[in-house]
Amino acid sequence: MSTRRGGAASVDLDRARALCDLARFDDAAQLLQRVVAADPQNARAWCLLAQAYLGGREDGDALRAAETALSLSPEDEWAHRLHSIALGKLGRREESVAAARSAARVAPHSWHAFVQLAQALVGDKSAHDEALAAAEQAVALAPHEAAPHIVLGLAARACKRYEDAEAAFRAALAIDPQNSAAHNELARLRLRRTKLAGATALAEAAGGFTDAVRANPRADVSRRNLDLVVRVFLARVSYLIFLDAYLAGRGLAGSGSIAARLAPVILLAVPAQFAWRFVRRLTLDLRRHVHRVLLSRALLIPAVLQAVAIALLLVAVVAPRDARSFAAGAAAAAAAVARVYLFVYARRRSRVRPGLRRFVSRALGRHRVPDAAPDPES
Amino acid sequence: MSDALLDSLRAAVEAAPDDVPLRLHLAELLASLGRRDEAVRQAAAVLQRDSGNVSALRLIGAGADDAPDAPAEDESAAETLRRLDRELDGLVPPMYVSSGVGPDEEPVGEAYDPEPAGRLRLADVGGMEEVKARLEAGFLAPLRNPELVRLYGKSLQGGLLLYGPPGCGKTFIARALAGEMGARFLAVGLADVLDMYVGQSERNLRELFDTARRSAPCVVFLDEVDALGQKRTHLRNNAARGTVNQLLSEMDGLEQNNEGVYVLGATNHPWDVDVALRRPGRFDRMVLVLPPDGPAREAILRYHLRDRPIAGVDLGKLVRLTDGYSGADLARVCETAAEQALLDSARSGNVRMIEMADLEAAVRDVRPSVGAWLETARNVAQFANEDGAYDDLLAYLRKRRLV
Repeated sequence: MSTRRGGAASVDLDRARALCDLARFDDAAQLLQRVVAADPQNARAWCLLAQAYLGGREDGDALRAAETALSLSPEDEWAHRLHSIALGKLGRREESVAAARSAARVAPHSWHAFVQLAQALVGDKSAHDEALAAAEQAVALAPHEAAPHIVLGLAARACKRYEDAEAAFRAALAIDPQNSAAHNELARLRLRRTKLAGATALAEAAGGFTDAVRANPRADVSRRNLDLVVRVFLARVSYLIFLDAYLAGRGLAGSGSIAARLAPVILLAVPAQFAWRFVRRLTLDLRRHVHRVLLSRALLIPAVLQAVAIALLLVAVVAPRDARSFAAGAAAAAAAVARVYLFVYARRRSRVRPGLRRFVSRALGRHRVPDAAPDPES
Repeated sequence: MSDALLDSLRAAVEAAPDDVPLRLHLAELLASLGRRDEAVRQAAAVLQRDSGNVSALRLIGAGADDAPDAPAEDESAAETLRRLDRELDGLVPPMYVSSGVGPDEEPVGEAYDPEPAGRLRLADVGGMEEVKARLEAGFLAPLRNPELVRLYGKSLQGGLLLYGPPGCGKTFIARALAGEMGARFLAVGLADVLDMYVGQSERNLRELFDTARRSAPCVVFLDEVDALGQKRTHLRNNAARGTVNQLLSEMDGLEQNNEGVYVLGATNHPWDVDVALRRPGRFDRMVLVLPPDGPAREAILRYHLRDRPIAGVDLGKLVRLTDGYSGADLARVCETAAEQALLDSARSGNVRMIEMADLEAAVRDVRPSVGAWLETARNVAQFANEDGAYDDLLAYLRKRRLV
């Protein structure tokens, strides 16, 4: 009788695992709840239940299931790892690191454990070197898996070793060209490293986020990052127009020469070239997307302000002498308001109260790029 | 029993409205005298004060049905509601006569045991004229004219994939299509798929198609085909990959003749289906099944309200309010409105009909469930539509200004 019951439980566990593989987390959780009700001492069932809860974003329940699994099987690497993931998702970072260390301790040959340890440590600024070491260990244990390379890239980026980070993300993509997280992280890296007028890198970042969405249409983070690229583009155009208007205003105030009068138009070539280079490198579907985002209610205001700034600069060329400086100043003000609007918009979207450092960073046109959501436990 | 005694009891109840045993006694007396309506009102007033009162529940059951089932002692509130819903349904005549159309009926056929040709037709599907026209042109017309198909050298093989948001009637349409073709119907659901994963998957799948071939003409309906034919790159275990390979082989009919076997698939996530399954000869035609249009919503609402006590329901307005709702959402709207009327009846002691206000409040409570699906669909239509497979979807999203 007990053998038959054990066999049925085994079949149910196989089914639940298959349901998790198919991302039917709710169905898997329902099935596993029945399994653990019939056999509360089944540590594997509790682990699978924790995995199903994690997949269904029920992190509190996942934590309780992982704790039960741990109480039944204290030396189970999987249980420690699930415990760490659930704690991390609940924002209990130090405990998450401790649980990941336990996973690595009980299973020093498990690349999964070191991937989780590295991922938990990456969030701790004082432990970036340790995160890098753990990621390197994971890659050494499983060089043909994509996940260790991705976490190595994350750790290298945290250590500001950008070349190494890019190489790691590229290695992950060489193993799995459809890996959405690797596409997303590589594009994030490009976006972070673009210079003020780096239109090509910005377009490449947009392409990378598109690849991430294409590989996984559920990748909301990549979709948001793609929209972020458009905002960064607009912010940089605003900044370049502002510089143009500022320089033109100074020139117009100091001299009445033809060159000084034409300066606003000549200087407009800088933002125009930036915009042209950006758009030219986008694929057709991305151009349509950018167009749609620019015309969306949220970004229409800065786009219109920029158009007004450009119109004022053109007016400054033909305006009477007394009005030129005023027109250039008004153009600079419009561009500045557009930039501030984008800053406020980004801040409201992120819902994070930025510190002074982040404030300065954003004011200079650098944006916080959302992370790719880590995959549920495997 | 004299009316004077009843009047005295009524006066006592009015003087002590919270005296549950007294009110219950009055209700029982009224019931024994055949004054069912008043007995039900008094019993409902008891429930208002003591929601789990078994005697009151039994009295309401007796008021609605001459042979009531005694409620369980530990009956939950939800169960009570459902039971009261059933019981109160009988107190008033239904507003609509059943059309016999159930948009969200689930397939009841067993795998490997084909159902005989059903009587359901596409004409029984309310609204959705565009989908029906596409099915007629892309699937039914060639089947009805095999000589023409042969004349033009076209193959009769190949499957049709219905895709769209959940709860929009893909299964119902598949059944109607089978009825239209006069073919037997063999449905395979996710549970069968999982049996395949843990059992001998390839052999099971071969048996499934062998059964269909023996029963030809037969429609093999693969529900949630993204589970059975998921992208092999996403799959971690070899058994699942073997299942996909076997499905490809069976659909190609390499070893057996698939004449008269029509494969219909349904999925909410066509982008998760292995690309090999969408090549010619397999699921080479895709039909988008969207949330029901106006006429379809009206038919679905009529169906779900057909046996409920309703009064003054403006169906036209309700149809307008529920634009973008799936069939399953509409069912929930009706269910929520019925619950509200039921609770009110129990609280007030006056049995009342489901009114337009209940349905409007339910529409406000139940939000369309297709939002998350549309978010993902938008990403696919915008960035993963290289071969034009999702042009219909893109057109729909543009129409709704979602891209």
